[in-house]
Amino acid sequence: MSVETVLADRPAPEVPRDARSAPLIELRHVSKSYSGAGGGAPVTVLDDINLDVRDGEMLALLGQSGSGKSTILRLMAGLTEASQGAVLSHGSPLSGVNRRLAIVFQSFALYPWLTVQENVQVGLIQRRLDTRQEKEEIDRALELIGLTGYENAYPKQLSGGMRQRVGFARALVAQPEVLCMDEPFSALDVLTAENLRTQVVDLWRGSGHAGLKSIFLVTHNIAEAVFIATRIVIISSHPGRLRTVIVNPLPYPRDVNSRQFMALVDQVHAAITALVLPDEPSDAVAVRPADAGPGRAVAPAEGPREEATSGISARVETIPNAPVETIVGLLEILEDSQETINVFDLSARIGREFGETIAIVKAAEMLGLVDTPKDDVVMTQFGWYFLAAPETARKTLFRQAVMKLRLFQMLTARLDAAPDGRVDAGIFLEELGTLLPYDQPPKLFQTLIAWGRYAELVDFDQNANVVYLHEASESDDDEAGEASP
Amino acid sequence: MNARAYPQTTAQQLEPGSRLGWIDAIVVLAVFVLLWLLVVLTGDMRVRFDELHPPPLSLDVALIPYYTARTVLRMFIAFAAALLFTFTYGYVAAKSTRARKVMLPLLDILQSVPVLGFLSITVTGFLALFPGSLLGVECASIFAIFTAQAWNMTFGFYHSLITIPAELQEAASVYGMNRWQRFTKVELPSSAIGLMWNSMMSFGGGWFFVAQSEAISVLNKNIKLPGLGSYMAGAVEAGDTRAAVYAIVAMIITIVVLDQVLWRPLVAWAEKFKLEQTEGKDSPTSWMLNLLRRSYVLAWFSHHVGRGFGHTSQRASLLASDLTQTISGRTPPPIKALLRIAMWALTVIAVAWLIFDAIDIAKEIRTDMTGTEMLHVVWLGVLTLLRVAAMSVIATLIWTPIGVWIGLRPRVARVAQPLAQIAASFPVNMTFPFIVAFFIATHIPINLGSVFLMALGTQWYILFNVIAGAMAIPTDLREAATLFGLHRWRLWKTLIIPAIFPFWVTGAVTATGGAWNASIVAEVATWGNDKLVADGLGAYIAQVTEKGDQPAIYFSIVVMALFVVAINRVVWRRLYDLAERRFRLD
Repeated sequence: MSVETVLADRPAPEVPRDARSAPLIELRHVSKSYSGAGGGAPVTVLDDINLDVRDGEMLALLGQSGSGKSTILRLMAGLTEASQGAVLSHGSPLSGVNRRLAIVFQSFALYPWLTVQENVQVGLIQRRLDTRQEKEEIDRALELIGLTGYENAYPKQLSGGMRQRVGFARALVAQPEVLCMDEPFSALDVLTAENLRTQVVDLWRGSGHAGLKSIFLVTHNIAEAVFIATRIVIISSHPGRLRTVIVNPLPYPRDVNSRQFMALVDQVHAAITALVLPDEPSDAVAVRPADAGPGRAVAPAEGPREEATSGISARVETIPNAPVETIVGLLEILEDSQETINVFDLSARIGREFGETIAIVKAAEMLGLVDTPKDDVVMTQFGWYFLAAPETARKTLFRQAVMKLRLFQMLTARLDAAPDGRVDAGIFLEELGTLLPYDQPPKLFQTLIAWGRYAELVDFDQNANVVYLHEASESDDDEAGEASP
Repeated sequence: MNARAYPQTTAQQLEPGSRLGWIDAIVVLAVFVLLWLLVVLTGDMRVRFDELHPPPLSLDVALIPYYTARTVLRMFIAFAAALLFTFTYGYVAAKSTRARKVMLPLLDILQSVPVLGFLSITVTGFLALFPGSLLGVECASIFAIFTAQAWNMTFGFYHSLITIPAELQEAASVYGMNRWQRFTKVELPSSAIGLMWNSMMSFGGGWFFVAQSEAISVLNKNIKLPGLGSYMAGAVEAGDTRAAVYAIVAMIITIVVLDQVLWRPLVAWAEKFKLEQTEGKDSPTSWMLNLLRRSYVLAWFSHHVGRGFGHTSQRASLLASDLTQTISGRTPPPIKALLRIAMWALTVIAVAWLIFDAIDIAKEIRTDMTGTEMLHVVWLGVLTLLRVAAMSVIATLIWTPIGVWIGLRPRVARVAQPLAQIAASFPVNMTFPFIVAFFIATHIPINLGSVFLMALGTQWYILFNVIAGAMAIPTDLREAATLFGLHRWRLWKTLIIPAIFPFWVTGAVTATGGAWNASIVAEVATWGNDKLVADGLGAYIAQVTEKGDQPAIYFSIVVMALFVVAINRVVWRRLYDLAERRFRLD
């Protein structure tokens, strides 16, 4: 099996372009930022994106939620404008809404007050047919998509799968060149999604559809991307950047249980893991105890990650949005599975989306509780020690761990400096916005407070909108202060 | 019949088997009667009006239906105008971020202006517009009702427009709807439910003003429009208790009938515009709607004429959008720039004109009123403020426990809530004379009694919002409270008060807003030859209106509007924020 992986930081100029497959839609050095909430610093969601949708391909854009992949789709559709760079349709700049594409929405976006037939009719508005032709087109689409007999039903009388079929029918009758799908199956249950996915592939292969040249799928589901797409583009978050392009040569119909299919899924997994949890030690990576085993809960009292703290990272690193209990839960799973577990197995085991799993692992890694050689997650000595400790001791350890993070050092320093130990939350939000322009300050702030509360380090008064030091932690303050001069 | 929850397509009813029934006869008859009434009544609106010889008003009971019809027509004309205003103003505010910055604060201020205080000024204006015709007075009355309805509806419509789910809008863009298609297929349907409830409430609020504005004494003249409100006023003047009671009964019947044959069916019908994706259990139902759905004539009409009309409007909108596109494509940029400049110039002129007008009025006030007089007006405002505050506290203390009791019992609530809504619609100012007679007989000073009069009209808003809040308490929270043995005060403190708080705020805002307006009516009261005047801004406005003292009218209205705006900013907005932040149940 030959699977070709192209590391592509700037894919567009490198892609060879023959005349036949001139890109239908092209993004050139596109960036997108939104002005921050409450007049804060702008948040960059997409950074220097180069991407093209070519004739005859099924392109999947794969990324975690919040990576800006839906924004890319909306840029292509002309529903939103790029802050920088250009969006081209057939080589010429796009102005207004792109009439050559149709969208299947995550929430279906059907009009509840219109019948199935009338909803599909919306897709025909641009084609300006007479009544008889409209009827024919609608009937044909409904038959193709398996909705005959439901013409006069209202969307809320249908199941989720049936509703999304209406969404497909509406998109198809518009006879788009590019059929865009924005997480089309994620609001559906597993069985229904499976069924619809297969139908989409069949539809594409049957391709009796006038004018349909390409399908563009936005998803966070790796198996789905591998099942459908001929080319997979992986996007990283904060800010969204295109990282890896994987060409998928597997013949249709694809067998999810075949060895090649699974190998490709693993490859995509590995590519994403490499993005989020890089192997080479960066300034935030912990000491790697080679042989931490069960029963060795007697950890050095001075705590983990000495090197990281002595190295004093000037760079502020963001913290992933992971609740403390999920981090503890991760450690417990590691304990059960003899300390090492593969990230993908972990994701399957805890039944969470891959992106979420990675966020939890990343959080644990930043705290020095786990380490991630390649695709594996390993418990560190500190992790064992933490897990064995009683609840109050855990909090102390957690406090020590978070105080190694720049964000918390800055937070507590700020509170110490305030005369009454109370600082308005708005100030923190603003600072977070300038420090980490690619994050959403409110979300980050929430995680910060949640971790700080567990550590009994800080507290937050929602009514007064004020952050203050936790009273009980004041005795420990000196200790923490020493750890990070 | 499953057409109850969702209107199955009319095609089903058009199958050959379905035939004309008795309901069709009634529908056709009703349509003709309504048309005939419309022609007759609008004709009567334009009769000659001579200021020296006002049209006679008879207290003959047989004339009550006619007077009622006149009053109802007035209500509907005002409502249609309010609807038109709602669509244009709300639409523009929602579409243009720049215009919104001016339009929303303006609406906020307009909402705070006491409508009744303006009556004398609008009457003189409209009389000048239609000299020698009753139409002028007619318009002033309609305008008063309009101002009572429009602002609230506009706010509601605007809010629905900006909260349409993004993907529904995006789908409209991707599939290329033009403005008209977007308005009819997306925007109007998504705001239909909100608009329906808002209309119902505003229409109900309008009765108060129609009753008040039909019989007005301005510039020392007593003008009475033919209508139920004037009939009532006439009855009071003549001391004819029997006629007064008849008028009240007629009013109640009118409100109930309109509720049953118009608003309930509309609300039940609007269910199909619910944005949620699943079928609700407790959908409102209406016997009237169920009847109408069985009508062959209506089905035929909606199928042929309705669809044809829809089709034509769509085609026309396509043509229009094509045309504007070509025109805007072909118009050279200089002309476009010129047009834009002209637009701006017009706006500036209009604003300048308003400002000059305001300065004129301010000058007039300066010359006509002394400083102490102005201070006195502000002091009267404080007195009325105390009255409004007392009213909301008392109404809250009385109605909250009752509302919670009702709301926690779904079966009672189903009966009580519509009743409370109807009660809120009833123009209590019609009953004021009786209560004043009672005050006189029992020697209750009007300074205290007026609080009661104000509460009569506005307490209902607190009641039915509390009912709604209590009904919305999730069952699991209630069960948990029972399990943990929460009782009495503990139960109220931990569960009930926090849960109903946001609803109470909504109710109290409406109630106090209404109370300011009501003070103009409640602080001055007459029964026959007895006249009671309380110390308050409302009484002051009523008196200067009667005298026609324009500078004083303007000044006192501005003072009252300022009071309302200030209270909204200082008290209600904060409570709203608090409710949003702390007590939301989702």
